[in-house]
Amino acid sequence: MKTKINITLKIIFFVLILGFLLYASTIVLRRKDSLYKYADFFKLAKEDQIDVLFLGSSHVINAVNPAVLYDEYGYTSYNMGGHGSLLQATYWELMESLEYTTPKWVVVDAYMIEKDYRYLDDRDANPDDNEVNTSIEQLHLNMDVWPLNKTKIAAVKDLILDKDIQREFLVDFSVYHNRWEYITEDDFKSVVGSESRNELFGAEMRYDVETAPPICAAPEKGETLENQTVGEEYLAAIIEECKKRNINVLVTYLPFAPETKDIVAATSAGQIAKSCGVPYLNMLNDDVIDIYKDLNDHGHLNAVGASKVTCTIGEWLSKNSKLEDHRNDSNYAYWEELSSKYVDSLEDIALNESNLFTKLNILSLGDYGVILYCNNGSQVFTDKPLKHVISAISDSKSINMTMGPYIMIYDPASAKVYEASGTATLDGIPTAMGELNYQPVEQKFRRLYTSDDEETNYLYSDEHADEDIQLIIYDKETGEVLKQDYFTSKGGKYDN
Amino acid sequence: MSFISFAFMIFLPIAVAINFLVPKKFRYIWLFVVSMAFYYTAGIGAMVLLLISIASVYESGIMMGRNKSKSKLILICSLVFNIGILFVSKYLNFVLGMVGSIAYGESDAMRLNLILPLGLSFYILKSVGYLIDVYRGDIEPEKNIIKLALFVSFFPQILAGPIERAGNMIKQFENPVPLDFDRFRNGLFQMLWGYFLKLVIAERLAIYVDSVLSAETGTVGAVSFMAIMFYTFQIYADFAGYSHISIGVSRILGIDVMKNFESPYLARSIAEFWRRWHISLSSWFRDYLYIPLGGNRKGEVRRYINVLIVFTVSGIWHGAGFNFLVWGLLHGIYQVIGRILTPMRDKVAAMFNVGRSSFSHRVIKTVGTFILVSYAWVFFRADSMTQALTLIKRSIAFTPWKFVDGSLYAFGLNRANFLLASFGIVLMTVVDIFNCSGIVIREKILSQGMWLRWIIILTGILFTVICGMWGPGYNVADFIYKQF
Repeated sequence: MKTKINITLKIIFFVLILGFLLYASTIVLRRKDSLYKYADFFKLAKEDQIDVLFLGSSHVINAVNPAVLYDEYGYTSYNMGGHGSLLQATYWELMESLEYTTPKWVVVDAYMIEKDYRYLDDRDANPDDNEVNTSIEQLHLNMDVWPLNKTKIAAVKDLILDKDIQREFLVDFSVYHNRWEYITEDDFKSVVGSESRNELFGAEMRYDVETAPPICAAPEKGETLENQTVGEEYLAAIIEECKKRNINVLVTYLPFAPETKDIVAATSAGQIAKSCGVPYLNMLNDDVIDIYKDLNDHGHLNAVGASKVTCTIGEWLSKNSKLEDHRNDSNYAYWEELSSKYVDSLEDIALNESNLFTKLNILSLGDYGVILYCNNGSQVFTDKPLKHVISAISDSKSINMTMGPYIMIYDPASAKVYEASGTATLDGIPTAMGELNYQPVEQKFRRLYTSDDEETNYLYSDEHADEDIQLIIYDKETGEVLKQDYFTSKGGKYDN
Repeated sequence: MSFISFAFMIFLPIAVAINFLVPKKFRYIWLFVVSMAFYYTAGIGAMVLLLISIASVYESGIMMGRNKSKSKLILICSLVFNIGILFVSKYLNFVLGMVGSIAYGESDAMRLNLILPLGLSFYILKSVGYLIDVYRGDIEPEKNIIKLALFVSFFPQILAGPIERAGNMIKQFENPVPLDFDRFRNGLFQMLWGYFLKLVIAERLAIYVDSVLSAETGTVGAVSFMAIMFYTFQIYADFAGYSHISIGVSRILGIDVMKNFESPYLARSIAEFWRRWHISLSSWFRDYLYIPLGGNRKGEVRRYINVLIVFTVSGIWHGAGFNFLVWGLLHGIYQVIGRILTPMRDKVAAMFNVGRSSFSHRVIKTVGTFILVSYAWVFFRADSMTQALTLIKRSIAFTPWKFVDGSLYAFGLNRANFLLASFGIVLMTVVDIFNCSGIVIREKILSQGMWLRWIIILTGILFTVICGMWGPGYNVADFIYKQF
């Protein structure tokens, strides 16, 4: 009897150790994208600090920046958007998140509302194999982080048809055990919860500038989707679920370079919102963004576009909700910290980015004083997209009417822009740097100096005499020159 | 149901738990029930065929016991019937294909829609062995049909062996051993080694081999040579892996099954290789074909002919195709030539005063045998004779730089996986070297203190689970020998 008890105890102990080791392996080997995105969600939901949830696809991920929303309005929010998320995936994202928090507002984007297949892996309904595979892969971002419970099982069964693929989501170790060759220090940190995390509250910012967005034909006015789609059903279900829980809902259609079908879908989303009695912001119709500089690619916004969209939603919420401004509340120090970090990251890009488009676009946000000089004959004057970005900063068309030389002084402190081209000079321009004076002299020589120090010429350097574009960035308050960059326009590459 | 399926991971614990609870004298009934449940997953048609075969073997055995004078006739009828089932299921289409090629110029012209039931080749050999044993009077005909049916259909063996003898199995059904913890632990550990061989080594090597065979360019020289070497270890890890799992499962269920491998790649001759490789099949052919043909009792020429017949039949047993035939015949020819050259080799050894028992001579013989076996495997693996000959031709091109310039990593296995596969091969070889010296690593580990034992076993489980090629990321092929 004693031997039997001994053996039984040994078996139990062995199984427990094995179980622990397998569990630890699951955590270490699991792909961290999902945990990276949602780690702060769990932390902040536990502290009941999330007032707004943003739901939708990658359009939401790239277009809504909770750090900006907090910085500008003091509203706390989390970006729950999922790459490639159809509205049924968004519905289950909501259901999962509501197990941890009850926000005051849910903002749901209706992109892809026209999709009319229920299961993401239904290859009969969606014959595009790549799209199906991508949808399944991207669903891991939404699903992996949620613990295995009734909601997750229901979600997976509702989203996936194939039993083997369902198992991939319910027992994700079967997929991730082969990550052994890719594990890093961060994978081990996740065992004790100190892994790196998304510091934009679920959002991801992109910084490229799409210079040639496609422009589609407009549909018939008021044209809507012909039949009710699965996407529409789930949008209605999301609204219904929120109403049931007394959560306010705002439906949006975030801006990008749409196809005709997207404009039709956006109109249909408006109808659903109307029939459910919830407000709707169709940003395809409004001039929220500048389509020629605020897109990262034709479908997604860059950080400047995101900033504009976030502020538009923030403005709407300030007018239509009673959300509390948490700035200056010490309990929300973490929000303050991450928002500041984002502002610092923009500073880093503004000062150190080597891509002229990206750099100018970030500078258009008005956080720095900018002096841009383009020499006579520079390819800038034939580059329409770049001239558009410069025009957006100067808020004038002067750049379009010259072949150089051209200078623009943008002084945010005084909210003024000064431009000169050809042989024109600028005299005694009041800026944070002091009174500036500009004189074009010859092809490779020009002068820019302050009235107090005529010896220092900001626009000439022997080392950079051949570079035709010069950018001076100064602190908008103190006037301290933070960075001087030189670019060559040859070949349209703008190398520095 | 495969040993590497999730279903089996659920099926086995249930089968083992109930087997543990069932009284000893009824244990064979439970084992028969689970064996039927296991084989049912192969399809109802396959199960019906199995039951028909079992019924015919049972009745033939009983009849041979009752009518000694007609036992030869009964044996022949039963052999014709059972081998007929095997022929129709496995070889008829091959024959019709040849006839179609000759008559219509198209091999598919006369093909029938026939499916080869899982494990048919294995359980028919077991049945045939039983019938011959009864006919020879080596064993008494089994009167309990469930025990005979269990012998034929015992689920750990039915898909790919080992091809056990009735004399060894049925007596274990009649006198079951107690199921103790040591037996359980030993069986599980053997299964773990089997899963390691299959999932970590065989499946990983298969990626490289398949990739090289399907590639149209870039495989000349070292790349093809490595594919041949890797396939040699892949098939060993695959089949030995299966056999270890099978033997481990049997042990847990209270049945001891014969060994199927004994460090085959350390053999110093082809004849020795066959005493170490797929032992249950080799010994079956020896006992039920080679010896009845006269073996080596009727002179050298007849001996050579018998060897060629046995290995040709062995080749054909593995599959209905010319590549299997060539593979079998090649092994027969290796042995005949080896035998013919023996006096000459003895003379050369004496002339140069070669110490035949020296370590270096033994290594050279082992390496030589290994190379011959490896190149014969090419015919076994290739989809056609042309593919096999192309691979051999490419493998002998002199491109040693490809071993170091990264060329080997362009065929499905990156550096990490290539190194892991190589580590697996080294480990497998080390275990075999110990085994050859009479040291069974498994038993050595199990005799260690608890903590060291646990560390090794837990590491083994984690390593197999993490580095094993399973799950949705991989298209895990079934065991190679299951198809036969």
